[in-house]
Amino acid sequence: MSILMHNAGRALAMLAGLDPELWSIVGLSLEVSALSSLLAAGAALPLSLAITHREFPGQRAVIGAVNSLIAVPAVVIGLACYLLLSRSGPLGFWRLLYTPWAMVAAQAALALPLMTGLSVAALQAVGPRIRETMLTLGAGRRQAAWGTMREARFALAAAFITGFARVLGETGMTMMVGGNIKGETRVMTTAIALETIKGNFELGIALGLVLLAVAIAVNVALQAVQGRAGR
Amino acid sequence: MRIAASGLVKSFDRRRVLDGVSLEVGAPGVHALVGPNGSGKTTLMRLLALLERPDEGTITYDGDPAGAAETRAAALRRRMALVHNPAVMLSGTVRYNVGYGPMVRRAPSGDRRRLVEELLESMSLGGFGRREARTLSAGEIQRVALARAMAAGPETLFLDEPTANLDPLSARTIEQAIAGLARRGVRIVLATHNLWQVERLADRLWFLNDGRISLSGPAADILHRGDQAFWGRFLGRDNLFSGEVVREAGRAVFRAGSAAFEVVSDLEGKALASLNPNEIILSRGRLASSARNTLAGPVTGMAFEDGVYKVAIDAGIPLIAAVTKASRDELGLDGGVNVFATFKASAVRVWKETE
Repeated sequence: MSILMHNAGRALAMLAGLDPELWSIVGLSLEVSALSSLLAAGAALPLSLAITHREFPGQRAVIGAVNSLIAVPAVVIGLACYLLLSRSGPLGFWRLLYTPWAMVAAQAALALPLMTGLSVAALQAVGPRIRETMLTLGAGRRQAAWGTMREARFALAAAFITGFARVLGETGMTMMVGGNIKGETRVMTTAIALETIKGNFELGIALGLVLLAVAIAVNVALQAVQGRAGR
Repeated sequence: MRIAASGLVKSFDRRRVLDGVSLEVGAPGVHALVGPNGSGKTTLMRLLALLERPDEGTITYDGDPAGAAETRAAALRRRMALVHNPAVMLSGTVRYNVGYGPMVRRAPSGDRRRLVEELLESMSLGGFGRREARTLSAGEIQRVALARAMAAGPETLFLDEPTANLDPLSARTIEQAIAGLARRGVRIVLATHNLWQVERLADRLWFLNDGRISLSGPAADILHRGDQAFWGRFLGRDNLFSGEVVREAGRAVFRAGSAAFEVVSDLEGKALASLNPNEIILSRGRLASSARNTLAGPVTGMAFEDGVYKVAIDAGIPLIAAVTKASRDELGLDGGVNVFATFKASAVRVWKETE
């Protein structure tokens, strides 16, 4: 108990003292996860629009496939990314393994099915009548697609936030492709894992507190937009 | 824009909803599309409004076929508008909804705002601009939907039962707006069940039955021809009476069989009367109400149709009243039970029998 108290006290001192290593880890974490979420969203939106735009043969199978991909374990995605990006892999010449870009790529791959699946559900919830109403009022296809996204904006925002929360908390996969290199690819989750193993609890606790704070903030945001989406 | 359809066929799940429909929306004015539920009215309007493609047949717009290209369909759709029943509101304010058509046409925002306010005013919705559209009542939503369609400036406007189940104020406002649009040269295709409405508004009439147009022509001719067989077909066996209108103490009374009831009519002599089964209130005791007419008699039969019980009553004339299952159960309606049928004089439609 005294060890915990002792380390918690030092962790708080680190947080208050603006420890540069700690905050650079936090900064990289947020950057990598935000960028990967944005990339995933950039692909998930058009994909979900294409899937829901109109009925087509095999639509249900496609949606089923997307939803199955959500269940793929992160560590498998990490393995796949590792094999693709490793020196002897097909994308090895990009030399991305153990860089933040590898983490961004793996996290984006993890978030993509989740965001697509949630976005498909969000757009489907708008219903065909809304799109038709826009068409009858003179909207072109693109305007109708835009309008449909506008109708689903809160549910789409929830999809984005859920994806962001998922990748921000990811540890094993991020460690596999990032390597947890100090000052380069060390993010909150991988640092906590490492520092805990090393018995260096103060940094672990400090990062844990920040991660917790971010997670709570994200959840509050999610609750807020879901509240509006449900209206 | 002149719209001509020929040989339209459309099936859903192997059921032929439209079975070779040809018609022309030529002159400006109100074209009423009348027919029983499931006769294909909505489907026909959706095809004409290019929301769906026919399985067979062609539709031309000013003589040119719609073709398969989405860009041409979109261009044509910009010259038409359709109001669903019930209409759906886009999320956002009333102002956003009504301004949507001008917005997607990139109208300047000043013009757009003026137009929106003007239209809201004309639909008795002044001051509603900032309200959240989806929080409005059904009648208000339908009025917003019509204002929204008008704001799109359509040459042809499709209205799917725009006043069904609405409060009288909303219905009247909508009818006035329809008449105003027709005067301004808009072609209006109005799907309706309401014969009063057809009489008030329609210039031409199509009667759609089982996916085919069985009758078409000037509305006044068809309505006032008093073709009992025709209206009998439309109304089914429900409350179409042949009798006469007489004046009693300054009131118009319709006599048929051994029954007599008050009506609102200037006619005298032989006439036809019809009464919507939904406008009849059934009770086990006599009601104290403002409705002018109460007929009494035993229940002679009952049938479940379109989600309601149609109760046949021998009230001196064979009367049909529509009630929900809950009402039927509460009243304990069954063969032989004596009931009172109450309805307003204004609920009876009377027209001249010319034969």
